[in-house]
Amino acid sequence: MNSLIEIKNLNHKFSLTKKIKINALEDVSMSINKGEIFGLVGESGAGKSTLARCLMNIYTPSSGEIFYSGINTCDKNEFRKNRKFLQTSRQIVFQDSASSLNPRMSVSDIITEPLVINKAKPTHGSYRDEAAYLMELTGLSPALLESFPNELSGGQRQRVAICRALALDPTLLLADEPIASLDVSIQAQIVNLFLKLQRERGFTLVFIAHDLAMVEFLCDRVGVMYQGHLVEVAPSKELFSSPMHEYTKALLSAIPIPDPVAERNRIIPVFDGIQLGKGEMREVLPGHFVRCERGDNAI
Amino acid sequence: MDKQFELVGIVNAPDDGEKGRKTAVKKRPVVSAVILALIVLICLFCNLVMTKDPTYMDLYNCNVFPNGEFLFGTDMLGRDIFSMIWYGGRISLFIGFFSTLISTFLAIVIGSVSGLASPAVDTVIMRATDIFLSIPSLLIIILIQAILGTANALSISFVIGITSWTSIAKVVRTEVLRIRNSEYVIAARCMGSGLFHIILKHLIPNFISSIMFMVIMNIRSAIVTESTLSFMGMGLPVEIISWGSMLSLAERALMTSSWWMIVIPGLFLVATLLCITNIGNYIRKENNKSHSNL
Ligand SMILES: Nc1ncnc2c1ncn2[C@@H]1O[C@H](COP(=O)(O)OP(=O)(O)OP(=O)(O)O)[C@@H](O)[C@H]1O
Ligand SMILES: [Mg+2]
Repeated sequence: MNSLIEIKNLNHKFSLTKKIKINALEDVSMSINKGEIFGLVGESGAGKSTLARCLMNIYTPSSGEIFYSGINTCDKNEFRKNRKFLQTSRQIVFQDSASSLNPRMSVSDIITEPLVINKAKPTHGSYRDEAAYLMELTGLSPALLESFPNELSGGQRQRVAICRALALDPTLLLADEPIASLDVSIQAQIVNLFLKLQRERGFTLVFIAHDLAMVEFLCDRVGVMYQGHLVEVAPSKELFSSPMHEYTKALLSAIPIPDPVAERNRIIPVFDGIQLGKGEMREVLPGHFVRCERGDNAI
Repeated sequence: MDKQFELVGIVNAPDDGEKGRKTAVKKRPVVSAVILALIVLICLFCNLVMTKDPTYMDLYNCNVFPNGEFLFGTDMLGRDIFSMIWYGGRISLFIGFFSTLISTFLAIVIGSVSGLASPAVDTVIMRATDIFLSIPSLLIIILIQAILGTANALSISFVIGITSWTSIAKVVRTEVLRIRNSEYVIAARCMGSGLFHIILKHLIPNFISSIMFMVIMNIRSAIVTESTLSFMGMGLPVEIISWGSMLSLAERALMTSSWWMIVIPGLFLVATLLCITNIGNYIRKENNKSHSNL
């Protein structure tokens, strides 16, 4: 397998007080292939952002390992040795473009910041030219080079954030709900932009979203998270046509059907929020993993 | 046709944007800025306006009342007060600015480090700051003065600078705690940015407006401290002319009822301080306004 990321038994706890701890991630194992678009879905609080932040070394997981191109990024020494490589080849786009852009920096400064930090030589002339090139790539007018984030619309800001993430030509792009704060027509534009950029540049994209329709359209494979657990991983088509885990079924049934009669008569399966205990991922079909409770043979 | 549809229930919001802007313009401290700029400029180019050598002691003309030759009179050592005002103003203003530079630099470094560090380090730094704050600054000043020996403008600036950073540092720390979790700082960290880049590009531009008022007030209090110290005989010696050291002759001046020796430097001091206060207040109001607009 040509996997880019291998996640093995990842756990992450947040301690609120000395006694109270939140298990944001519990025993997550999966792999992400080179050059694919991997979708991550799940309800709010499922731990999607936490997983993304662990992948970016923003959080240090409580236990478990993440291998990126064979490098164990959770190991401090190994991370330090490969710091430059890791920091330039992985980039992240956040949900709220308003808070992910420094309000006191111009668009051109924001986009070229990764180059300046890493003292990388721009490939298209000066820093400014590089910024203009990236802006054109993401469909922004270079006339906005000297604007500040508060002068831009939400969609434009998100494009600037994407430009910044692409500046170092990353191998892995993590997008943590990049479209959640945009209105519907802009959402479609941004999703199409991601698709186009991924086709052109071939980076691996991890796309976190609430909107299942967008995930189905965009992603090659999808992982479903529930209460810190990964419950199902499968190729996108297969997951949407034949979901296996109870939670996935409930989640998918929440997608409205564009037919009023069918919509009204539909019976939505209730997922009674079972407490997930010890379980393991089983490959029920080639490439289709479902989480099963331990000692439970039925799916 | 035109009255077929009518929108009801919508009340146009009163358009007070324009009015608000006008009052803001009106309140801009133009007079203060002009007076302050004049004082600073003349002090900087005092050689052009001085009619006498401010350090020359004309023993035939001690305690002279303001007249045509000595515009503001002379002091009891026979120095021309008009020339001394500009010449000494330069030192007073220099001390104000330079000590503020020192204290602001310290405040930004200490506040940023404290805000960015782990909670344990942060607590240690803040406790140390509190201890430092609880020692009367006069005590520290006298102690450092004693170590440094005879005072001059640089040493006074240094002493005032390192005793007046604490309150700015606390504001810087609070702001840094707020900004450091914002996603642009996290993104910069992911790109491998160092501490220096984050402080310079992300932190300072975003908190500078909230400490601007305190920084300007720091200039004011530094000038006051210098005057107070000199007045009490712990600051600049009489040979080094500043507004403070001119006032240090006040006691003896009162005995000879030469009021101009106190009133004239005092007037310049108060005028400068008032102007700085006005400008500082304006900046604070502007800052509050831009925050409430968000
Ligand atoms: N910094 C933090 N400190 C404490 N608890 C946290 C922190 N960040 C997240 N959590 C908790 O961890 C759990 C997972 O949060 P996470 O942000 O990963 O969810 P998410 O799947 O991204 O949700 P959303 O779709 O709303 O973004 C939640 O219960 C949340 O309360
Ligand atoms: Mg999230």
